[in-house]
Amino acid sequence: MEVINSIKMQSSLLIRKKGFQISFLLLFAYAMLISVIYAYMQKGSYTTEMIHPAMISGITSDVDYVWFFCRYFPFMAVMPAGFSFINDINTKTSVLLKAQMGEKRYYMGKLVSVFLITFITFTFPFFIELLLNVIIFPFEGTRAATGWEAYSLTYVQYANNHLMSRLFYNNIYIYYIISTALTGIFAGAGAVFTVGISSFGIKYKAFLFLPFYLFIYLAENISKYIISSYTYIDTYITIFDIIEGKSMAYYLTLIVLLMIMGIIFTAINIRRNETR
Amino acid sequence: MKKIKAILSVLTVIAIIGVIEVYALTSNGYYSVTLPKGQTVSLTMKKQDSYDCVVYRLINIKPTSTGEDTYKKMKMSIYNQSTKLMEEKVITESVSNTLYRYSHIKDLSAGDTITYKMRGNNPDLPAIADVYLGWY
Repeated sequence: MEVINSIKMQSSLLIRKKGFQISFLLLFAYAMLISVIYAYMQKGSYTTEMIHPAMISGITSDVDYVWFFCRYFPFMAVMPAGFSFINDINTKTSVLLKAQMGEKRYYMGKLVSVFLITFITFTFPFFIELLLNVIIFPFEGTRAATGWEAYSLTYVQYANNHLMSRLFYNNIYIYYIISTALTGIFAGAGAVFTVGISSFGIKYKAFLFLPFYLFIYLAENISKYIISSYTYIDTYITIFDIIEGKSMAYYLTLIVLLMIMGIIFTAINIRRNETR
Repeated sequence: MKKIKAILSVLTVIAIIGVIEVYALTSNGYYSVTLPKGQTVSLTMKKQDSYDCVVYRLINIKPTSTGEDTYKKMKMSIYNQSTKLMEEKVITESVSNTLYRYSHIKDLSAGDTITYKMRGNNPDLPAIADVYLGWY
């Protein structure tokens, strides 16, 4: 119960921070911009020639400008909550919270709240976008963002390459929600990893932009020599991606690895503090 | 002094990311070839030792004289050096403009051949076809 209180308290503190507010607003503005651009691009088109509402999203692999989302993803993942541990130390909040709830509960609450806040930042803007797209765009739109018809024979060849392609065939909206949630989980795991690194007492916040970015870079470039799957992360964090050879096992392994490393680094520092 | 150190830390981070991005840009790439117009075209890969993906682009796909979209059939086959068929895909699509296709194939090597066969009797088959061979 006290751990839940710790999570609640630390989450509410994080929501009030500028890091969360700015990154949430940036992603929300980006998502809205994509919808507006596609509404303008499809002006005057026949409804059947239009893109399916669920496929017009800032997180869809083939929409214009998704490049921005992919490039800034590792940095955006750190912004909402990645600095929270350093901020707590700088403002002496950590001393107060540790005294109030105990050191272990503080750290457990910290990791869970960091994960939750980052997850919310990376999912809610796109969930809201889906809701708005369903209202704005006609359901008769059958095209994918690639220009192909979403359920044509040609696209089906490629849709088999989506992660969770069966879900795509059964219900495109559930596919959208679960795929976006998976991206949120990956971002959350990256934030947990960053907080784990920051518990080593990194002095300058700017350096915290590096660990998750380097992890992704190394994972892409080392894994391709070990596994036969496609390892480029951009194709995993975006949805409706049609590149062949992606592996859910690889993606989940990265998520688990990030989480475990974040927890281990934090545990090492709890023990280090106890022995001091 | 604190401010200078903070600014230096930001610059260091930007420099590290810059170096990695420039390295990544130079180590990934696409090799583009323009294919001639024809019913069957083939291309032998050069330059890079190995490729990870094939992207091809067909442009100037015109509608039929009646103004309707043309249903075209196109077959893409990839053979390795020992002429063993590595992959074959058929595309059936109503298209009226640019078309991209992606294929992630590991271990394509220089000397391997990609063959495109256009089927059907439409004289307005793609005027230009670009093939991008990528590595990362």
